[in-house]
Amino acid sequence: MYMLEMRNIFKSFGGVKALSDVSLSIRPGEVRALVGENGAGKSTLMKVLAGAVKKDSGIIAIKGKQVDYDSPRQALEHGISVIYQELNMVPDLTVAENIFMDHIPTKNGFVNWKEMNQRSGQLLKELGIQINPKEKVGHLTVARQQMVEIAKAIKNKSQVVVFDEPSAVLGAKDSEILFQRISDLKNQGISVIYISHRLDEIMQITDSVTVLRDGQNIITKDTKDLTMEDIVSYMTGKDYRSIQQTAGYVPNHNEIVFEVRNLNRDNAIKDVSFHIRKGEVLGLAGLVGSGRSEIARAIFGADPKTGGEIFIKGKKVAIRSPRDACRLGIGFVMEDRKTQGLHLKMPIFQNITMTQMNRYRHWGLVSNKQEYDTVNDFKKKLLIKTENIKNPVLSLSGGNQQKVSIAKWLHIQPDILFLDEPTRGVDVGAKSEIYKLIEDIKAQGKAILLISSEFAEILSLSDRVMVIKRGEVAGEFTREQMQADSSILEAL
Amino acid sequence: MEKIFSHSGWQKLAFSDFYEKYGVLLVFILEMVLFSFLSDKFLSTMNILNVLRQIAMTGILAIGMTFVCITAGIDLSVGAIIAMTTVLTSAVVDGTGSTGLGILAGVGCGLAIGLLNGVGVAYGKMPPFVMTLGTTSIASGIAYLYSNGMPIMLQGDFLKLGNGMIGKVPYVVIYFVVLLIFGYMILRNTVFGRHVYAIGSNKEATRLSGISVTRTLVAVYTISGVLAGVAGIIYCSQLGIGTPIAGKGYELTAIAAVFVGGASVSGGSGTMWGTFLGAAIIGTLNNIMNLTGVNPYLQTLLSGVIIILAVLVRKNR
Repeated sequence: MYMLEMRNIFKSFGGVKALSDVSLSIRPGEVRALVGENGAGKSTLMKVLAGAVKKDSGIIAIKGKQVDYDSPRQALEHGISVIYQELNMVPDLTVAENIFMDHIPTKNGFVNWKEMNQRSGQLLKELGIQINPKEKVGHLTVARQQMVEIAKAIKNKSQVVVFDEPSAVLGAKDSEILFQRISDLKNQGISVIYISHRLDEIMQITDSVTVLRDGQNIITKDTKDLTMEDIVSYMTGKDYRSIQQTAGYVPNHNEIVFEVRNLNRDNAIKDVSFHIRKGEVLGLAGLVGSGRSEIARAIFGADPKTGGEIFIKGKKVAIRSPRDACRLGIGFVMEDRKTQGLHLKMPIFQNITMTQMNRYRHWGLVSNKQEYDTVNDFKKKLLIKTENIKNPVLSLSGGNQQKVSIAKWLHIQPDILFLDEPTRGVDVGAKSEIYKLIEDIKAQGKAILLISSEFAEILSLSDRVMVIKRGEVAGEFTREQMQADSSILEAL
Repeated sequence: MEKIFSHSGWQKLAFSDFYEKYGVLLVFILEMVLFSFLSDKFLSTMNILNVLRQIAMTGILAIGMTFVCITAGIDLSVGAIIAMTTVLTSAVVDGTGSTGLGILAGVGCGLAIGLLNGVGVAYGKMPPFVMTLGTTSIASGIAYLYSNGMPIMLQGDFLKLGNGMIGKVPYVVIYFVVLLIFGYMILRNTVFGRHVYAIGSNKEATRLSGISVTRTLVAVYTISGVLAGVAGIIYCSQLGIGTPIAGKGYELTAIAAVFVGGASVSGGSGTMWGTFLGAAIIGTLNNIMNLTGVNPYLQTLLSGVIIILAVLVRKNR
């Protein structure tokens, strides 16, 4: 009998089909990996399971009995716990308070601290976790906070525990402890859903794998019958070994226009060096949390760095803020466009011209007409679909919003362009348009640094790939090397 | 939990957007029509000029406050700056007999406190509420310290600044309107104005776009401070007195005008035109209550109710 059955789940947001006839069934004590690229539907499916999002249609059944709920609290009561990547702990409260947050033991209307601390202490001891229940959660390391979350799930008598990218925030040793815990849950007959991008872990600790792509089920198979390459192929829909390299001139003889030496930032970035030639795309591959965005941000001046030198066209430059970087001709399309790249309520045209408004200034005042002309040019070139460039950016679809955030940096006519997850949250059509755009930029002789967690994307667009692991360079591959074998996967 | 901005969501926004744009104007027009029935003196030129003269001082404060509020900040110190300005300006005018030096002193007061606020918020990363709360006491303290709690009386040419007229139009109304127009143009048509909106809309994205957030914020609070200095000069010129209790509570009226006029507490919205209408709505309300002889204590209560209602009916608070 199945512990959890999710059958024929459909969910749309506006016109976007996030989940299309997705099913997932798990047995008691089974550890199921849920994999898929960004936007595949994993988070939405889990939010539906957790009661955070209401499904449009479909059935959820626990131990064979159909259940209906539309709030996280109700999901909890049905035995479903989700341990989110960002963790749901209140840092200023104690461990005991966090564990019992939804059901504080009382005595005559007052909080029963003694019982709360006692029961927490007992629970933690049973789980073999050495944490003082009176300790403030904020003082614990992330790994230990995760333990508290697990304890909370147990206290709630959860039968299904979902882990959302748990190892992204853990080091190797803590990850091992986590896997032990998951093993314990398994032995107690609790079902575990494990969402992760780390294929090696999935091979190590899971019993079976479900792959989602574009909101649909692709396959569910026992882990022992799969290889890492198989999983990647299912995730991307392309045969890993035959991922096409895009045509484009190979810039091996071009000058080096951008160079970074010995970049350091405390423990986040360790001695990173690289160079990019004119018209070259350097891909930074790595898992979520490996430090790639941090590297780009430190170079760009968005975060401080503790060491390192940057050279543009052979000349050493000092970059202390994004303003410096911008003036030196570096553009940075950041990974979270909604919070880092765009001003959602401001008009489209203002978002695009913001990076260099001096162009439109005459006698102190801004010439709107000039702005409109320039932006309309971008609209045509990038195929931005909108009735009016005076509309706020939030009126656009994800793909078009992304084009605006790219346009805003093309606006400064940069020599060097950083792209961090350029097709995140972008539909298939806009995605290929953005790929073509990257090709065009490359052909114009710009140097591009491409960060992406999508295997197919980074392999097909890059001339060279550098693998980053925990803030350091773990390997470098040329085009030929990439096509030859799956050594990249191992480096990851 | 991330908000999903879907296409259908955008349609709904467009509809309430109309109210956002024209709502304040509609309220104002409705008011004017209603009030004209309540008193036949209401729409007379005399009365309108009167209203303008009365809202001029807090109106000038509101011009600076608009810049600050758009960046999602607040400036509580403007009332205290008026006090400090009246005391120091009066002292200078009384001591040197020079109107010019007096004006310099007044603007200097506003500049000093405004700069202090700006540096604290921009570089010290102080929450605007806390920073300007602190400088309120500093400015007020300076006023009390210098004057020893005693008013400084003025006479002479300096008084013409605040009391003079061109025909039937008081100078102060002209100052107000001119500053309003300048404020409007800067906010709407300059790169600086664009940066102000950008910061209020998304501070981090603005920084990451290569714009100097710190410089813009310092400028914004300095503008507010300088305008408060100007208001202070007008105050002591109008009443011929420099006193540490000048301008007490004026910051609240200025803030009310900005928010009634359409600004949002979270920043990114608000216009000079909206602020003017906000100041006018509050001013005409007080005016009609005077004309119809409403109990002054009731006036205060009603003002508060109207301000809350005016913002409540909007979605974008």
